Amino acid sequence: MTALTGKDIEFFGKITASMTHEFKNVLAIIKESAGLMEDITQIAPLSDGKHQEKFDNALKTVKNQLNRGMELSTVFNRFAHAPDKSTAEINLKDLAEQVVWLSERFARLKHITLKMAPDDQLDKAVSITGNPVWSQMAVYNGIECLLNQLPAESEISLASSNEAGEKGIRIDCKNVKTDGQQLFQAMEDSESWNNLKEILSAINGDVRRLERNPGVMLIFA
Amino acid sequence: MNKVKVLLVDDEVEFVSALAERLDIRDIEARVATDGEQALEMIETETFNVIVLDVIMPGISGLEVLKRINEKKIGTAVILLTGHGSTKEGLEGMRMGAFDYLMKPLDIDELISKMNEAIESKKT
Repeated sequence: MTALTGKDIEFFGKITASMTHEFKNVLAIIKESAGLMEDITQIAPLSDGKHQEKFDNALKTVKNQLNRGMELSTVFNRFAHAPDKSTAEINLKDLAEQVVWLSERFARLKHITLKMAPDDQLDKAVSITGNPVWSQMAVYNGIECLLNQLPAESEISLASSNEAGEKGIRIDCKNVKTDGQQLFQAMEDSESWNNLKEILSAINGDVRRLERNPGVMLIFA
Repeated sequence: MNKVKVLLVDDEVEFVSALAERLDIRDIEARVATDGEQALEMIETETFNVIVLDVIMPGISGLEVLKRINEKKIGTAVILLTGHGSTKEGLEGMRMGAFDYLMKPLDIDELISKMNEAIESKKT
């Protein structure tokens, strides 16, 4: 099997984007139908109050899952459109948020919490010009490297950063049961480290250990 | 005040039917067209206060329907419905004279509020 080329990625992106639009249409139908059910029971509540409560709870679950589905499909749609341009302006906070969404399930399977840092601990405005697909790959691989080393119940948080001339994404880890140096060494010794370095090298980026906390800084420019 | 009458144009039958019923519950008369041709025929024979038009449909696209509505000079405000991949069409539609565009899935209160704004805009 050959490696993916630009054409392959373009094809995958085009089809996936189209499917996410269809998925949105499905969600729109479910949303309106659930809304109609809610409207009807508000006009004519079920005669048995206990059943009305169960109905309301079930409808609440449907609405919550609809919101989740909409957020997922929005993120997935953005992901699918990433190959549309080989170079684009990329806001690093948006990039981090996007990859957190895409990777959250992998973290959950390892009982690791993956999230964005609070707004007051990140730079909302910092952006770079780069390749959207490779930038997402770099952040994903950074997270994957950590997921392969961190114990269950640990926590990973991402923050866009623009300090001392370094534009990048800081990945902090908590509850890691080891110190930053040991964690970084374990990452460097892992197979996924080579992937990360290769991807970062292709986009003129780099990775370094955080000075104070366990974690890494992905440098994009 | 006369009851608001809206034409909903969308090829997703279940979506547009449920939306029409929800608007009806809110005392808004909603008529449905499931493609551009049907919408244009209905505009010939009925008067609407506002038209809610999906931009991506099989057959005549929403933007083409908008263009033909403009040519008819019926003075009815148009709100476009877009998906995340079709915001470009939504903006293009606004350049062509649509009042605004909303993304699907919709928030019904936002739709009604936008419909009222669109109707008001045609009165001034």
